[in-house]
Amino acid sequence: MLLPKFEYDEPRSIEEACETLRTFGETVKPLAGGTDLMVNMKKGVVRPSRVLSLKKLKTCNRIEKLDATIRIGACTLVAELIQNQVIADTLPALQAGAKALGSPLIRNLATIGGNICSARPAADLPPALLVYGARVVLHSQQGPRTVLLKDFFKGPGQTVLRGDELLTAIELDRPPANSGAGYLNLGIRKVQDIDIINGAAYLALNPRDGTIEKVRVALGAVAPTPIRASLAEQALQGQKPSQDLFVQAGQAAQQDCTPITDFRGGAAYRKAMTSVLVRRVLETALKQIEK
Amino acid sequence: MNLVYQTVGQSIDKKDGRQRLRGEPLFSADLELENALVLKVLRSSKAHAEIESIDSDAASALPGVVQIFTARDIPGRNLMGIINKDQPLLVVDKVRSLGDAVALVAAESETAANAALQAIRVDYRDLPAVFDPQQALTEEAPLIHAEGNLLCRRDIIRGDIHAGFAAAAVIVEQTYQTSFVEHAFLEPDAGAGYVDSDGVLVIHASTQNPHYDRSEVSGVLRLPKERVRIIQAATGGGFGSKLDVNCQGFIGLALYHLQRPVRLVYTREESFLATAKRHPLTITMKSGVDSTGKLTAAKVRILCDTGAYGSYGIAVVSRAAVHALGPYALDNVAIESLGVYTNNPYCGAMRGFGAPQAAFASESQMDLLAAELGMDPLKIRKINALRPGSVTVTGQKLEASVGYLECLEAIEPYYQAAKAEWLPAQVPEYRRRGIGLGGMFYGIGNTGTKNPSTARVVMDQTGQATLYTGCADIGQGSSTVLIQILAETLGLEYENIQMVAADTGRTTSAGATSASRQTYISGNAVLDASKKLAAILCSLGARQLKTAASDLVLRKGQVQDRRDPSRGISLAELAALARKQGIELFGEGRFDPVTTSLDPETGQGDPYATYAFACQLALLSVDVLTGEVRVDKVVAAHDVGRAVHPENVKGQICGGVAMGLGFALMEAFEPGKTESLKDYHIPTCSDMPEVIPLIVESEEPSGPYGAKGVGEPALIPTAPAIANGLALALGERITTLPANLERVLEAGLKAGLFGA
Repeated sequence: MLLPKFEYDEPRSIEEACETLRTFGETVKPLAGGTDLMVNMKKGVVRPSRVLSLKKLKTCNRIEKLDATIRIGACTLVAELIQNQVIADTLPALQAGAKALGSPLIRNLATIGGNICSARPAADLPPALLVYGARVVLHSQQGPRTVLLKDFFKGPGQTVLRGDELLTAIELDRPPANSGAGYLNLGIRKVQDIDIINGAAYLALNPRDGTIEKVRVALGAVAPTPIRASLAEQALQGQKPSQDLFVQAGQAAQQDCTPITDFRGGAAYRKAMTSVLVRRVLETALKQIEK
Repeated sequence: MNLVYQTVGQSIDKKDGRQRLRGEPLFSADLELENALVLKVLRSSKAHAEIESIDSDAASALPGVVQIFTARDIPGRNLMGIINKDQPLLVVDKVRSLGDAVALVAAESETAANAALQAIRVDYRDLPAVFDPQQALTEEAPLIHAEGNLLCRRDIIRGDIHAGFAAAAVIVEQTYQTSFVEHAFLEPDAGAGYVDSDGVLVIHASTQNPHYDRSEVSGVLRLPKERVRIIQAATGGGFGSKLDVNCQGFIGLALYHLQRPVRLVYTREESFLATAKRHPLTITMKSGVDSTGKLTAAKVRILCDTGAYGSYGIAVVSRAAVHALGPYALDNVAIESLGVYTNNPYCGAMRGFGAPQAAFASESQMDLLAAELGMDPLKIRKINALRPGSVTVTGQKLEASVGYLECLEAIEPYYQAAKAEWLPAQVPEYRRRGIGLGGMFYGIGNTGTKNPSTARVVMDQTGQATLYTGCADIGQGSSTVLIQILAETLGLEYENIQMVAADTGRTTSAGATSASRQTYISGNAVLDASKKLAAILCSLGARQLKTAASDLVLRKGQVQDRRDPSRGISLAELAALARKQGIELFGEGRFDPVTTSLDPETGQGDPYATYAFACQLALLSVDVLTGEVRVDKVVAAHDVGRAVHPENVKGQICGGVAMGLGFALMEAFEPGKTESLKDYHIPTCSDMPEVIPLIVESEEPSGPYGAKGVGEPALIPTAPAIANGLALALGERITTLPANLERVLEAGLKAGLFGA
């Protein structure tokens, strides 16, 4: 299958890219890895008249370790998220999400920004990013604005990103020493699959009494967008971690989700798996702290 | 008897292997044809509907659109099918399933062809549709074909089942269900063609049966066979689906009318939608066993959903019946197997022709019976195993090459070790381990019908041999094996043998690359041809060496005195001599396995000349909280008669295990839902267990150098082995495939395992 005809731009700066977006509006589609866009263009699902390649935007494919934060350029390859030492050391749940995404061929092309902007309910990176409290930096000609990732998704394929905006970076606070996080996914086969369900959890313990000081739980493929499981979080907040507590949190998480039935999995199965996954990612997070 | 051969039994470099690695062979989509038109097929969006009108005027007027064909443009017989002809190339008055071909577009470009597809207007009038084969057999069901919804039936009646069940200590009865399965070969269907200077329609295609393609295309076009030439292009797998005429008829129709080169390449989605699937089978099986573990009787009812068209359905129905009870001796049986039309996607040949589905049922029954008796699953299989002298359910007495017991014995040490050490090992509470056995037998070649192969071997004046065979190598390695047989027989180096294969203009028919038949049947045809040429060479040599021809052998490029190898004459010298004397050096071979047709009422007869046997052992673990299954190891023992190319046999086994694992755990085709490799799941490397192939060689006296076949047997035992392993792990049996996450979880819940 061939691609339909389109205009092609390769801006060299974010400013230049934003100008193109402003000028051509909805008829432009930004191109990062293209693992989603190219397929959909071939299928005729999206028909942009102009494609804006982001590959010459040098500032967008770096991972920077700053004093209190980590800044990941939107064009960072998923493969790089696996290999990068900063990610491995400080954001292991994100690394786990990256490992679960697609195949080696896909990971060598796909970007973190693309995985976020395509806004698929079952995407592998958002749950980990959500539990690390990620913020996304959205650029337009007016300059950047920062949005919490949990406020970014609106529905399947829908986000708060305006037509004249470009997602340029993801920012995360560096997790403190007494914290840990985990990511897990479940699919029909072991790899290269769209998940039936996925999820992540982040725990930070109070160093004095060992209670849960900060907790975030996120789930994918159980709602129109990746979600934070707030009832699960409430069940955990301020408590001492234990097997029983994690089981309770898992059960609470079932009330956070509104899954559908499709050929990959039934709603009841997804709901039941929410408990198992939440429990297991909490265990992973706790193990990391204890390490 | 373990003769050492020069070439047979050696894992030589695969024919064309290096070229394939370098990307040299041309697939249909790669063929360069000047000025070729693009063909596209408009497919039905309805499962069952009358066609009130097809308006292609607007589409025809679009730029770049050359012509749009409908059924009216077909000059000959607009019905296809290798066994029964019921599938139109282009539908006439109604569509019977999603994906039926409604119109064919020829255009200058893909863009123009796609635009034309959008612009053709078809007015349908919906008809009631039926998707359940049981319902399709009722009085009220809508008729899919005028002759009724029952395609065919096969009964096998032997002994007295009432007496048999009366003698049983234990009787178990269970219904099993399998899914539609897509072949998911690497290369989607494709073909390309042109009209040559003699007016012959030359069609290069991705195919498993070029000679059948030729007869079908010439019939559709009402042309003499000589006016159609099918050449197999490099083919990226088939697994049975490319036994149907998929692209070839459309290419022929366009060539016939337009006399211009054309090309038709299916997208993956089209290949999913519009080609045959594995038949879903509903099998109800009642089995009885006496207190010693000996099977006493079985009653079986099989319902094969063939979808909208027959394709290979009749063969599947028949083979499922013959193989319904597996490689076991049983005196009292009543088997009823029905093939039923529905408005589902049509089903045809897929690796095993109903035997994999049947093995899932019969091997599950063996474990159920063993459990009831408190007997080891391996033991009950040994007690009932077919062995030399046994009589099958069709009344065929097996004389030789019955290697099932040897397969069981090859598996036994792995089985005992797994049972003693692996199974009881400590694992996390939410994990359960299981081991399972799956056995099978498989008749080589077509069921109770003639299925001959022919071959021709020619030697030129320099002593170089060329093999002409109609046999289509679709990646499984038949070309290599046939050359090995020729090389062995003529004492030649295999590297120097040329080959012309699967070209109806240059080769005679070898029949279909199906039913695991090419090594045995075409191998024998090549052996026959080679022996005839060898006889000529020996008689020429006899005169030169002044020795009786019967004392001569062909070895190392020479005719030699068997008693004194220093006395010899090279084939090059003999060939030069033959030329001088005006003697043509060639041999023509033919082989048709000795079979009898099955009695239409009792199904008794000798449907196959030989059978392959196998047993596989699966070791697996289950996460009982999620239903995830990890198959850790599969040990696969296969009696292949003789492994002409051992590495190739191992390759077939590993590939078969992968396909069997998909069938067992994840594959289910649903039209409109799972029409791409994104949504239809076949196993990846990460899903694959370690596979330990064990080659068992119970030599087949009628086989070429003792060989039988392995293509389909490789896959058949895997799903039952996994199903039995799951039953042991969970304490609850899954009777519907695929055993996906939800079914496994549900079985665990039933057994009370959830909440661990």
